[in-house]
Amino acid sequence: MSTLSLITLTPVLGAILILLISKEKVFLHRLIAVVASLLSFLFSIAIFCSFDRQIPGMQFVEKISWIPSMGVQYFVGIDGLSYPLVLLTTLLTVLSIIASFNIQNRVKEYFFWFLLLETGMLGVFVSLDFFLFYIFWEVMLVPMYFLIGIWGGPRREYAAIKFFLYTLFGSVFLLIAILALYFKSDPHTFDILQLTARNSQFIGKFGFVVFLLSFIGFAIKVPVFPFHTWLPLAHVEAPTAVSVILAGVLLKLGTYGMMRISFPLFPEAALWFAVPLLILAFINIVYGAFVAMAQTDMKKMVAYSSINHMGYALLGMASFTLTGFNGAVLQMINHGIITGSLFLLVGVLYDRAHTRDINAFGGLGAKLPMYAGIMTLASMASLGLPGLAGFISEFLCFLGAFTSPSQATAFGQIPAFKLYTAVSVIGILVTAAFFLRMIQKVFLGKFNEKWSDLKDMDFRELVAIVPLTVLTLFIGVAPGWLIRIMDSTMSSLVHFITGAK
Amino acid sequence: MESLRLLLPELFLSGAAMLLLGLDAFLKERKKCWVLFVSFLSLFITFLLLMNHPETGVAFGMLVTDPFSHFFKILAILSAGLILMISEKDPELMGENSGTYASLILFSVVGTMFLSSAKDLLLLFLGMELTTIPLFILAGFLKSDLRSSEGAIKFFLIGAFSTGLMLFGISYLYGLTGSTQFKEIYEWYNKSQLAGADGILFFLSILFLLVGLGFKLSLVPFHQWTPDTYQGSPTPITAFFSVSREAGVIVVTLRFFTEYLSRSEMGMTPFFALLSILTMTVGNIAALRQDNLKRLLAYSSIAHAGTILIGLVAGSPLGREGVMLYSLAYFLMSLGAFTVVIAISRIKGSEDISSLQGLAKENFPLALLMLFFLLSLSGIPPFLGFWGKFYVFWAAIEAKLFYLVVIALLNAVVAVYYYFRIVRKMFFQEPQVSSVGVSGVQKQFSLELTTLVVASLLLILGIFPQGLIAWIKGTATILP
Repeated sequence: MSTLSLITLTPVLGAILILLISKEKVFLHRLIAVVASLLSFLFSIAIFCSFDRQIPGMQFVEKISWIPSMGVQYFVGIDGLSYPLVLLTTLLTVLSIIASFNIQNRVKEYFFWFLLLETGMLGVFVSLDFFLFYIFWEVMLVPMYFLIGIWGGPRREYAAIKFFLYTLFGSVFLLIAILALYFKSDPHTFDILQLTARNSQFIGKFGFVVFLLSFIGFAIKVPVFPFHTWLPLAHVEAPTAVSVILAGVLLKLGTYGMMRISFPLFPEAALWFAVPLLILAFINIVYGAFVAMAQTDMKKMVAYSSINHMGYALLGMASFTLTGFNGAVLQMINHGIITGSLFLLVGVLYDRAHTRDINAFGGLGAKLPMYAGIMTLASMASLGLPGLAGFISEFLCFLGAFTSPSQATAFGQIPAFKLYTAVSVIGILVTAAFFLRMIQKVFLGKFNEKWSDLKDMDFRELVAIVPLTVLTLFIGVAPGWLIRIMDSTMSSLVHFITGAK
Repeated sequence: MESLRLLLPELFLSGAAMLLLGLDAFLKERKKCWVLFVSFLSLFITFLLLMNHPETGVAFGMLVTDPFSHFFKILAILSAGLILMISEKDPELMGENSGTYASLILFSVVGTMFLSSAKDLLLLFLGMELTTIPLFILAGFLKSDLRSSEGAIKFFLIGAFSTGLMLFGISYLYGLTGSTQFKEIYEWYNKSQLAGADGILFFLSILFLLVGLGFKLSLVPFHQWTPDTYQGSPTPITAFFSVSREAGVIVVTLRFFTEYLSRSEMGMTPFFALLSILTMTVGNIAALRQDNLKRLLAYSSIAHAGTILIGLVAGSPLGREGVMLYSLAYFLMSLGAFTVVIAISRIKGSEDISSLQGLAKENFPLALLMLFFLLSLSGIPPFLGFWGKFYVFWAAIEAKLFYLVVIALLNAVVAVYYYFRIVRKMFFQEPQVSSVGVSGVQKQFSLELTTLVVASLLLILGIFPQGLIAWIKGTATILP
């Protein structure tokens, strides 16, 4: 068994083990969950050095025939696009599981679903067989449904089924795209690499239709406006740790799918779609930011800011330049880290105060210095303060979009990319406004006596959040090591797509 | 002699069914356990006979024994075995008249076996009657229950009516072509070019035949009897309904319409596609608002019949394989779900969705197994139900029936909603406090065993489907 299979399958083994142990042994369940996810994380770290940064193609490939009569393979591998996301997933899962130790209700089931979820997510990132990809894609939904529906907030049942039906609806399009590709390719195959290599078979009307099908399938996950309506509800109702995974990893599955499948398989359609994608990115950025500003619930605010932040990644992707692509992948990672820590931090406050209303607090800065410090840093990173992680990737996305070679124009003579990129900067402004307002209302001002017995963060919470804070700072100061992982893959991807024109 | 040898499994099983009928008269009340033993043994022997029965051929020029029919015969025998297993502890079914009960099930299986082999309209008719007449009685087996009688009467009237229609169609066909053999009808059709009045008459007779089959398959708009009959019947029989009966009818429909009368020549593909779409959509939408589990599963079985029909519309060998895989998967998962319903109604004395409330807290393993069946029914990988669905879609895309796949997939999303209504009740809600067992919970060993076996089959075959798919590919051949 190769390292990738170990990374992917360790969590599910842990889940089965949890199922076999009686539900009274709560401590044992927590232990197994943390050990299984930690092992998975360590395996993914173990290949950090041996991962060759010069090779743009797939590494650590493992290929086993699974259903030969249908041509389905167990085919996994990683490249500069998927490896950072695998690292992000395993890291966030470990931290989320630690953050979930305060779950008291039905502990056994909780960790069972959580570990199953991790396998689903990792499976999507490492799959190189389109069919396998789809299976992991679907497998992931069920644990998420239960995690939101059982341990969520007051409207959890509605949020769970809405999330489930919405994403299932998206995968309908994906499944049709997969089957159409299979029968169009000659010889028939589900192998993503071979499909990519033979993408000249998918040009013309067929290519456009299937591109749009796959795009809708992925866009619902991102979520791209107007498919975003499931997100605020699911994020707000989900328990803290699940929100972290939802925002940190699940949203990236959409953008990952576009970069892995939609773009390289249909370069012609993708380039044609660059301007619509640009406009969608612009809407995501500005709309997400403005709606986030209107929120008084902190969790809802962070949820809407996710729409805004994924907009930056879409902006980078729409540019079809190396800078933009690097920026987009880096933005996916950074958003996972920063928004993950924001959700954890909001959860910390909610556990103590049982409210997330921004206006209910005030002057907490002096009372909870550690909490206030970390929260402020995460917010600053999220609004794109230079020196912190968010700035680097947002800057790269904007730069990529601004320097796009596209000749498209809008409103007469104005170059479309320059125009929309420039206007999108409003998003940054609004983001800064609502994060600063939150910091002001919660941490500064007159102390609200109601919260006089609030305690600062305890050891477990620090263990869950501090690694993310350190990473935020570190990537902000030295992003090179992360960009080097993805650079060669991104550069070959950009050449592959634009060269096909 | 050759013909008799080919029919050995059918003959043996009929003999066993007669014997069981006799046992009822002679056995004393406390020796009724022999009934179960005899029926299991005879089913097992029939199974062995089928497995060691590699010859293919045509018996009496009317019954064809080919790998394709073998598959469905084995399916029918398996279903009968499992149905007997889950009826075991039921005092109303396996009590006083246990011999009758078992023999009726076996007779119905023999009917299905004939039906899967039929290549002659007369045998089609005969097989159909042999399958359904025992089911009329079985549906009304709970004599003291008004609903059971109502369901049985409805089923009987509709059954008789549809058989009449079918027979009418058959008589026309015979008048036109001078034969009841599928093959000769096909040859006549090829020769005659359907000029003038003959063409209209031929089309009408095919339509009558199709309406008859449609009633049996509970395709929309011929489905009205299904929910009442499903709800009224004893639950094991409800499970039996959705498998045994449909399997035989599907085989004969496939044989007649795709092998002999290629529909594309007759321009019937749109017609079949329309039936499929109607059946899926109406079944699913009606299932959305059901509160009785059996009724819900009845409507969902209508929807599944519509999806299976897609494989038939595709008409290719791939479509045939899809129908086979789907039938097997559907048989396992619906049987599993019905078994859970039996277990629940024995504990709670109710078959409403609300009786499942909080099941995850009261009995986690049972809730988990039910979840498996529901996930499989929804077509979520890696359960076998997903492969069944995927395979028919595969065949449809290959046949370029994109619109059909899109509609079927949207239907699948609707179906998830009502399956997950049950999941929600089981996992998200607290158990009802007042729900004390009605008559003290009996040991339900046979039920537990059945659900466990079925669920693990669904999961294992779902993760490693290669063996099953290869087997189905091998058995999908049809003899001319």
